[in-house]
Amino acid sequence: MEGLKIKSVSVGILKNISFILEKGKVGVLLGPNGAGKTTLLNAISGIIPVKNGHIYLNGKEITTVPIEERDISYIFQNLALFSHLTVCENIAFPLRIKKEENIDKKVLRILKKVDILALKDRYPLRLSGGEKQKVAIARALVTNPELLLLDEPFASLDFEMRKFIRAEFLKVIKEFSLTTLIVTHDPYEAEELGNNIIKIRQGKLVHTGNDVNRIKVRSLKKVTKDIALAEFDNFSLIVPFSSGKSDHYYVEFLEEDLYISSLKPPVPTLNTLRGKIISHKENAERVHVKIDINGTIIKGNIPWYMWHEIEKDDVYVIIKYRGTKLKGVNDGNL
Amino acid sequence: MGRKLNSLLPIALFLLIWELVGRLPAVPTYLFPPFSSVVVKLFTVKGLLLENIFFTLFRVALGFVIGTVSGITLGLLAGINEKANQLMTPIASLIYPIPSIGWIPVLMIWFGISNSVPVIAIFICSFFPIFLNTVRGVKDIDQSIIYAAKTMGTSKTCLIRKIILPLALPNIFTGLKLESGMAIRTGVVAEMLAIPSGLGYLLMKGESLIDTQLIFVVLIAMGIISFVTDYIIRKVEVKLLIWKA
Repeated sequence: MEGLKIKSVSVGILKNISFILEKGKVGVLLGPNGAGKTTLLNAISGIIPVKNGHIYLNGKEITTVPIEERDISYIFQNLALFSHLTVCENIAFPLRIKKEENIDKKVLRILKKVDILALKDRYPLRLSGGEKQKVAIARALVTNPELLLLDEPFASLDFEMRKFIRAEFLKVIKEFSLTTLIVTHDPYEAEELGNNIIKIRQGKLVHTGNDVNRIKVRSLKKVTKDIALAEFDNFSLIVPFSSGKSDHYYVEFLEEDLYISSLKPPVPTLNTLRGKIISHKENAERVHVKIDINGTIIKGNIPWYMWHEIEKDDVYVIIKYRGTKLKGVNDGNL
Repeated sequence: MGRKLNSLLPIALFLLIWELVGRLPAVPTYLFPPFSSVVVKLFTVKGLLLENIFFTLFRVALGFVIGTVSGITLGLLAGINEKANQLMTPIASLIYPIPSIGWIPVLMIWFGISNSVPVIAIFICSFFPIFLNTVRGVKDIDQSIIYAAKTMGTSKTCLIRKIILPLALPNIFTGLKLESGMAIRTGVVAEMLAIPSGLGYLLMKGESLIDTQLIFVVLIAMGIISFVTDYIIRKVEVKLLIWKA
């Protein structure tokens, strides 16, 4: 069943955006800074009026419904906690506004669920970043809204805390089966958050699917046990993840992690290879290139700025280590 | 206890020096009375003093409350509504720097010798800074907090009452603390010039009778009133802004 349906929405930088997010699923709005991600969330929540296009929530059109009546919870990038209210009062606030019954019981339940019972009498200014995050999540979930919107909610946390809070968040979201749309600019985060990825760039929808654009390269030789050294015909790649045992493996990585340059990297960099551009196709957004690395062909899209700096066909190819994955052929289609 | 003693000691020392200087043969008592004679005078004029303190406090309270309530109300309006802000803030910014005491002569022409003069002077003194601080307080609230409250279904009046006003309070208190002492000073000056009652009137009476003891009694009373007012406002601030502590 349709949870959120966006039909030909054009607002601000956004041009003709359409997608459907099934009820109870987590969608990830991925794109670089300035792509229009927050604008889209603001349009869905009712902060920005939409003149062109339609927004439906659970089959009901909400395009012109006032912000106060949309039954949407929105976690802003800065979390927007009410600093003059305690944690408990912050969470109870939307319930009091909606004049719900058993407010104390509901607040207590969510405090326990998100594991912040000990913080209930504290004021937001006395909470750590991670604790604030949990309070914002609890406040958003307590009314059991029809849609939950999150604008880069983990951006202010350090790497370790982000990982932890993200995992906790996903656990709670699953329990509540909420239709959720999360904004991020980090493709790694997008992959961890959900399998409905909506990618926008410069206000345009460029990709919807269950993954981010990954480039897959078959590894012809067997992998060296758990070291995750993927050996190809005449080169090898070091990868941080390996999965299961298989006779054949392939390596996949994010498009964003493919770098091509005419210049040799000034410092030794992992997974730097020599290759030759054998063909390229330009479009308005990116340049699709086909590169031959000692007989193995890699195909992918690179941004225009990178393409402009390439002076000859012989290039250095750098595949960023962090997001590279090694998979057995049985793990997915190649 | 030790800290209290530490702050009382300089005051005791100051009073002692006052007493000694006042008793110097070279210093005439009618010009600079010793502290002990001021205390004696205080008990002599107790009734008169209390009566006039009441008059002054009544005028200050009336002008200050009207100025504060209207300053906060219009400040909220200007903070929320951009058109109201564009209309009111430039005028307030223009009038605010004018010392409120400067208005007294024109108020005397308009209203004559009446209670209205000190009350309106105190109103002018408190309204503009509280108005401007309220506008700033509202403008300083992060827009996402307003939107967050709206997505929760908060109505406009509830939003003002439960979110905007409490979050603007730190700025409002800055204005209140600044202007409470100033309001008392303005009220006393207005009484000196325009009204035959109140602490200002007593000061002028002391001057005309060359009764410096009375003048010092009134000055001490003014000091105590200002101190207590400031203390009360700070206590209320701590209580209301506990979340900032």
